[in-house]
Amino acid sequence: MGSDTGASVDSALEPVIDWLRAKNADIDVIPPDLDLIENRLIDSLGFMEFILLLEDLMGREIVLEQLSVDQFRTLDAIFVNFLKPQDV
Amino acid sequence: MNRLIATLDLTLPLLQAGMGGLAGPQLAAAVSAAGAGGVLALYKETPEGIRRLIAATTAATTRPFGVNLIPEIVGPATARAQVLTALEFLPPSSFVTFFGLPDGATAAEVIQARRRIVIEVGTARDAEAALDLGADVLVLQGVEAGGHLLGTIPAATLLQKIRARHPSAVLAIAGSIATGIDLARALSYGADGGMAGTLFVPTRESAAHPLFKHRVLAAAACDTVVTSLFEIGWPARPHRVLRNALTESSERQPATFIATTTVDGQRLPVPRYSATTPSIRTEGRVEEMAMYCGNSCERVTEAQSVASVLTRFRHEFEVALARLEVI
Repeated sequence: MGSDTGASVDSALEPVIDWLRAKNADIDVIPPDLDLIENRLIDSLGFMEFILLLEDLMGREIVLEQLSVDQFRTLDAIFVNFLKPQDV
Repeated sequence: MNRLIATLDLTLPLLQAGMGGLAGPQLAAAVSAAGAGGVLALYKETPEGIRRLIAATTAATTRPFGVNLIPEIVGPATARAQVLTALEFLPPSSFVTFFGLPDGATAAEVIQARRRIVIEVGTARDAEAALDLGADVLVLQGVEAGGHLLGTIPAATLLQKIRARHPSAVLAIAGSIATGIDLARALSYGADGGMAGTLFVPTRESAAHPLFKHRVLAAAACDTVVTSLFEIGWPARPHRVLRNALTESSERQPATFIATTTVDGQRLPVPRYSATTPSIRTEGRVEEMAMYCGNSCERVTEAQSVASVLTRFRHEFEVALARLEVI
């Protein structure tokens, strides 16, 4: 991954990381492959709020019935499934 | 006098399991009003939710009731905050139950507030740790129990181990208690009481979804299975549920959103493989959700009020106990 690509990944994920940190005050670094569900960074009661954040960042609605939790289990998955430049 | 009855000021040595999503004020108050120990599930409740639930239960019964907390789901800091909020509003006769071990500071808050502390465990090691934390009552959960499992051995085996080491500890067993006869048998093995969850799922006061109630009433032990599938929201803890299309499939389906449930007036999406159990507030593909159920379901056959269920239970218990004492 080139440095430009790395920078665009970081900047795309920045609001997501900010949201996760706001919800989890004791978290410092979030590895890109950390399971956010298993480690409870995204709580099941917070799914809707997180989906609304993704919709906000993408600028379009997400069809809930077609959305899988596995699509936002890690920062890597969130970038690939929702925030890659061609998706924006 | 029976030690569980004396410790928690009950008239029947039976505790109701703190079933998340199902055990609200209606169920807890009805169980307590019948002389057993009703328990409010606090699960992931906020301080405002805790205050509201305790107030509703206090308004519905003057008998002692408990609250249930699950430190491993919410983490130690939130569990302690939940306990502190609960202690602020709980009446003096109430008790606090933990599913799994709380940390020392949290247990100390309960003891300092002069409330009885009940800790549910599933291993001999955790039983020792719970007694070290100051537990007044240990609930020894066997692998027969429904819901999330704290160990892998039958309740009677765990009871035998702990009773041998702690002759005067107050011990209740969870798993296979659905009738008064079951409870009398548990006492004959050395328990002071029991805890039941499945028995209360189909009652009128339980918030379980109608399909869930129907399935428990129709089920036999072989219709339950221990799995780790329903891990979203509560990972790394195997659980006994009623078999469904997901437990019987060898292929994992996508974890798409299959239902919605209402919490504090908000509609929340529920994905496939969520730990959320279907309640009267759930709509969608309920049949694919986690219906926690113990092996005792085959002796749970009537959907009645808690008062009616526990009147029968008490009668069975007293008759069976008298027979055992004669023998």
